[in-house]
Amino acid sequence: MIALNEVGRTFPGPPEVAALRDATFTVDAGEMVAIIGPSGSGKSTLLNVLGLLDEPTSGTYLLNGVDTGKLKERSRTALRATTLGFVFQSAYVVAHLDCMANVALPLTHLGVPRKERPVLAEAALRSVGLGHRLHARPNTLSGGERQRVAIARAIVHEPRVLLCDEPTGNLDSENTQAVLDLLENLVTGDRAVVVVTHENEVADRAGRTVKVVDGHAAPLAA
Amino acid sequence: MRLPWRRKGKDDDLAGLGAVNNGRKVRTSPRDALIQAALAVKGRRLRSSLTIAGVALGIATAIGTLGITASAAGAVSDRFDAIKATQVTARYPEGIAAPPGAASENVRSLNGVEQAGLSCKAQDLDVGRNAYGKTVNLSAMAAQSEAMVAYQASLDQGRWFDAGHGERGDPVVMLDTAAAAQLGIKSLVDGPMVFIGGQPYLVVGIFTAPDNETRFTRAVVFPYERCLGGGFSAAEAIVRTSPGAAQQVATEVALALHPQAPARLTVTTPPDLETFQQGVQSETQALFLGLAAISLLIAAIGISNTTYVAVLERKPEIGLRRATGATRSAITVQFLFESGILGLVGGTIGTILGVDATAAAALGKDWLVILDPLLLAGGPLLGLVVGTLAGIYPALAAARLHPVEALRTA
Repeated sequence: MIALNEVGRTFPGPPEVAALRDATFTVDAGEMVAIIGPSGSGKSTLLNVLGLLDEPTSGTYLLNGVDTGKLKERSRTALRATTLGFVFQSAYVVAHLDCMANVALPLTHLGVPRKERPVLAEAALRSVGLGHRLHARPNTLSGGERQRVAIARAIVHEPRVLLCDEPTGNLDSENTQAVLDLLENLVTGDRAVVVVTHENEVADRAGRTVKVVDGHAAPLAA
Repeated sequence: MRLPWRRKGKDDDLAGLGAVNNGRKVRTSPRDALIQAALAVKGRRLRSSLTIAGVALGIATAIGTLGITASAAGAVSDRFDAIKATQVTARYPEGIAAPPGAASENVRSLNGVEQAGLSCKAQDLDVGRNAYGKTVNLSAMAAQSEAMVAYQASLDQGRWFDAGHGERGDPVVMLDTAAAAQLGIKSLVDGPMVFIGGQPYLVVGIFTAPDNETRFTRAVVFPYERCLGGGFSAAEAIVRTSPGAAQQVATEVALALHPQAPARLTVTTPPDLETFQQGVQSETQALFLGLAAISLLIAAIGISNTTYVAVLERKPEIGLRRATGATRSAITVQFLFESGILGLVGGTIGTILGVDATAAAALGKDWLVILDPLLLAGGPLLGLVVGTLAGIYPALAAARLHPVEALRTA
């Protein structure tokens, strides 16, 4: 599903900063992989590269067999929209849209027919336990509920890869457990989940772990 | 390389990428962008309302100034039309006063002449109700009744002079209403007399002086033949023409009045009416169009500022949209639609306010309300255009945001 070969990301200076160096690992469908490392180690840079939000300056990155280095921006956007789902530390719930409209956002940009969107959005919200808050405004939701809306939005278009950046960073322990349960359930035969975290509790739920230290990313032995 | 969203079918080697879009082309339709923009405008009510109010004021000022200008210019032109556009005067050189028959016969025979008469001015006179009592100092004129009608004096009581009054040298005068009031003459029923230089004169008529001829205000008026006896000056002929004939009559009147030396007469004509109207309208409209343009510029800056602030505030939302598949052009279009909607709504409200203001101002002055129908349709359209143009820079700024940078600002 994901194959990185000696991927690096250097930010031009001065001073020049090599945030990611020679990252080489794979993620297959049906597994949950945790990316761990201390603050400033390059975890977020790696996630941005995996999410096609940023371009590596070296190496090759194959996403579902597509060499992303050869894509123009518009194609990268389309591949990101169709293949990836994002859950960030902040839920990024759009304040002026209700839950249904928030969850339907990826469908809007994907060009999914309007009549299909409410059905898919409702199903996604029900799958994260928010069937009773379909038309709630974000300012009426708790932190845990907002993050569940974000997860529903990340899976509504059935992406092959779910990328999560510190998804439980702003949650209490009860909501953390609930979100981790949800993410575990989202690992299916044709979907992979990648979670960037610095919390051991989160990493323990993953089947495999990639450790990032000073920009070097390498899988830990199982 | 062929990518799945470029393919029509599902049975290709990359099928499965993005299951729900089913291989459709990834794009945000203009309608979806419009809906998203409308939701953003609706959802941010306070900020949207303030922006719309700014645009509405700008458009209302533009519509109002243009409407009031048109109404005022129309009123000015109408007033000019009624009083001045049909009036020609020909002044004789000092020391010369034309015999009454010349003006009457020669000038009145010209095409387009409706009334024509002669008048002259004398030194002010002391006028009393009896031979030795208190007197009132009044302006003194001598005029044919045709001249007074041509000057648009109106008869309140009694009668105008007739030809016999002058020919016989009858001791008769007319008074304007102010002079009559000063002399205590309220009615002509009893044949009131006034005394000038110890001589009695019968008051045959009381008239209201025309607004534009101050010489007839607080005046005692003798039959025109008094001008021929000396002591008078500023003899002139006044000619009232039919509408549109003034310019032509002006070229002929001097010759008709004084064939021996027409060049010695000074002829005064009104400016060409159409030129005058255009002048009034273009001057006032240029002034107010400038004001309207400034108002619109202020409104545009308001929209641009609001939209740009919205871009700064909504960086995370922009980052999220980009992460979930919105292209740069989709972001640009959405923000352009947002500013366009603000402009359109503001323009519509502003047009209504501007029309109301124009109607209130014009009706308050008893003017005819003049509004170009194009302006009514143009107001909302102008708001839309101004809003969209003002949104270009913020929209491009939003599109230029890198998703990583945008998401980092949360």
